Amino acid sequence: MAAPMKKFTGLLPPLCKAFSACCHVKPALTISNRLYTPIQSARTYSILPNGSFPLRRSILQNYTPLVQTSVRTRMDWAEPTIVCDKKEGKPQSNKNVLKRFKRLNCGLWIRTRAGRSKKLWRMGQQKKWRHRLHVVCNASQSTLLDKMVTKYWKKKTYFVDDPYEPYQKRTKMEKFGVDIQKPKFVP
Amino acid sequence: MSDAIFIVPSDNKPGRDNVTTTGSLRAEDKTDVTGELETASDPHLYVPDRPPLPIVTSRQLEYPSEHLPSKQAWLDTMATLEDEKLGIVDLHPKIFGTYPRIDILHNNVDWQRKYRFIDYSFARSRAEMPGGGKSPTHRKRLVELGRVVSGHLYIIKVEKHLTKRVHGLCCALSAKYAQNKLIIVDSLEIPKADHQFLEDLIDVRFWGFSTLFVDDSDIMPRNFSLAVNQIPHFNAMPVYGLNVYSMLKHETLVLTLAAVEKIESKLLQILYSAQKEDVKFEYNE
Amino acid sequence: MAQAGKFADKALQLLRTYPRVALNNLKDMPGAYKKNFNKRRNAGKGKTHGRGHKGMGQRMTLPPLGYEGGQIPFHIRIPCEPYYKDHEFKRQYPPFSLLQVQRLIDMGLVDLNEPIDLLTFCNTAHYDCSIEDNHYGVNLTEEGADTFQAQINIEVQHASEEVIAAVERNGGVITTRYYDPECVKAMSNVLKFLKTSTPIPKCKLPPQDAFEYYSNAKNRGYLADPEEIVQARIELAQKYGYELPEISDKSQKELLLRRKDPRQIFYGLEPGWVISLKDQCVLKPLAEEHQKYYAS
Repeated sequence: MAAPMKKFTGLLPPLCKAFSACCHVKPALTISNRLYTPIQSARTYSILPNGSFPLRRSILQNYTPLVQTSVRTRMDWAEPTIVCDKKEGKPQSNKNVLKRFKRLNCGLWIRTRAGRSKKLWRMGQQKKWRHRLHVVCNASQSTLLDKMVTKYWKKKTYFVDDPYEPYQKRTKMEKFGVDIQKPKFVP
Repeated sequence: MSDAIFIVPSDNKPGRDNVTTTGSLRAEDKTDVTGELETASDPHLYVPDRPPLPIVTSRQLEYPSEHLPSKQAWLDTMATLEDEKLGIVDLHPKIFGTYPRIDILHNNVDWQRKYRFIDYSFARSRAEMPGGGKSPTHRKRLVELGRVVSGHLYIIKVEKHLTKRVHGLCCALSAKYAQNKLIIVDSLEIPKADHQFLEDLIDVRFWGFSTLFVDDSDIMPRNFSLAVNQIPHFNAMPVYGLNVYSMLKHETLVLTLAAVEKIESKLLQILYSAQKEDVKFEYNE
Repeated sequence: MAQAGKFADKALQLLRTYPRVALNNLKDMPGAYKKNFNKRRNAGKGKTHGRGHKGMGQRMTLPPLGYEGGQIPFHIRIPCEPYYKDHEFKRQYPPFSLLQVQRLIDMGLVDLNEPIDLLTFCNTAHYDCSIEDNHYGVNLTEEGADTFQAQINIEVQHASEEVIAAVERNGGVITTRYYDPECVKAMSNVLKFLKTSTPIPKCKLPPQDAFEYYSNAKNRGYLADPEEIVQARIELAQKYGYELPEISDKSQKELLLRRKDPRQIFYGLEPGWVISLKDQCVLKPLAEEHQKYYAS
């Protein structure tokens, strides 16, 4: 379910389902830009109001893709965190972070383990179980993720029958010498 | 009953009798006082027909507090030169007996100062700069002439605006009450439209160098208005103009009973309401 | 906020001995104002303006957040997991404990002669519910269930078994009720809604995933069969070991029997009516179409 204009989220308005639907981009076009140099690709992509790319279509219609894989380049994760976007002046969250991590109400971030579905045949039971666990990120990672995400994702959630409910609050913090203040009770 | 925090004067005589024993009398002191002390005999002065004192001993409070005893104040009159206590009036403790927060008063005064300040400084655009546009010899000056002076941009914080202002008024009134600078008067009627009479009245009662008279409406008794108009340091104000800055600027605050009723009802309405303030449209109402 | 009492009296007594509170005496609390921290413009901040010399720091070409010099960064290395799938569609119910409800009653912020619902909670200004954050109503929690002592007719959006038992043990009545977003918006800030002068909306039925909850007698759902609810009350009383008290007082009984129509939002007001604050009147729809629509 790859979004077609992945590399250019900084320049385009935020993608929504309707927008991607009216883009009319052929599947072949989502494949790599390894075929041309970065400068060339920048020239061919012209950004028009509705996000249509006539130039791109005209050039690439004659091409047959050499490699049928999606290749990530350095550009993919060199996406800056947008603090103030061009159109609305609002910050934007890093979509990669939201796809992989979850923020709990207490400020902790949860993630899965890398390689949990790889080489299971040579893993022992214990190792497989450990790899299936969801793990908490450390302090520096949490601060980094907090910076990459807008205020909306840091709001407290009040779901009913939430599977993460026991983890939304910190407990036994006296052990670490941290005094969690009780919420102020106003009669 | 309750703990009254003000001192009841032991007798109605002014303090000058005490002064004469210690120091020498100035010329002004000798002439005026003794003659006008006899109020009843002077045919020019109006002595109102009133029932035997005390007229008022209590007052019904809106939102009376079960646990807090109400504050009490004398009810004076301005009809005679010497003050006559018509009775005692109850005041709501939440308005006239709050903790006197000096920092809240400072915040209010600061806010009032900033609110009235209009920053006229500006930076000229290229088009507004002096200089012609015709030939290279008539070159526009590059240095900006209308530079914005730093430190004059006042940003008023909009957060919790309403509660700070209400709290400020309550603190100011409490401070005035506690320091004996609050006087409650039945009405602002004075017998003659003479500014000298008003000055003497305030002299006799030791109301201070500057007094602020607050009535419930902006139309005040004729005599009083004419008298007060002559004196710059005595000012009259309707209830809607009551503000912390004026209260602290003037030494004494004189409220009419009607004004007290109005102030209490307005402030208590806000203090006891559970409405959330709509900060977006704060200055609309 | 404004504190009056013995502590204030002491302070006021002290004030009598101090000089007159005037414009020259006022001062703010220590630490009230923070110095203006301007990184770039200040005395001694000329030339490089706190940026150092040359390099990325001065030239604003620092790498993006999380960049690890070309190595696959931490936030990309981790596999994807649909934690936030349908996050924006899930309903949230901010909690409000029984202890807080008891306190509201004790402080006199709630009129016991009227049924309690989401509107009452929002009007006390002690409960925040905003539909923009996907809040759909009150979730009554168990804190204070042991000491709860009030006979009330309460209407919430979610309640657990313990809470229902606590309320019914005291002779009260609890129902769970669904409000659609438009209605929640109207109820959470009534004054704002009334100022818009729009007709009172007709409450829609709950969505599929919520329908089961609200038609279950065990949850005291408003769409459940009343007979089943009676049965459920008896069962719950047996489970938790209390007796359902009998209500002899007629007026109290009337209050406890008051319920809203599934389409109704406010007690005493029907959907379709327009309340005019300026003219102080209620306008009802005259056209047959409108009446039919709002009655359905």
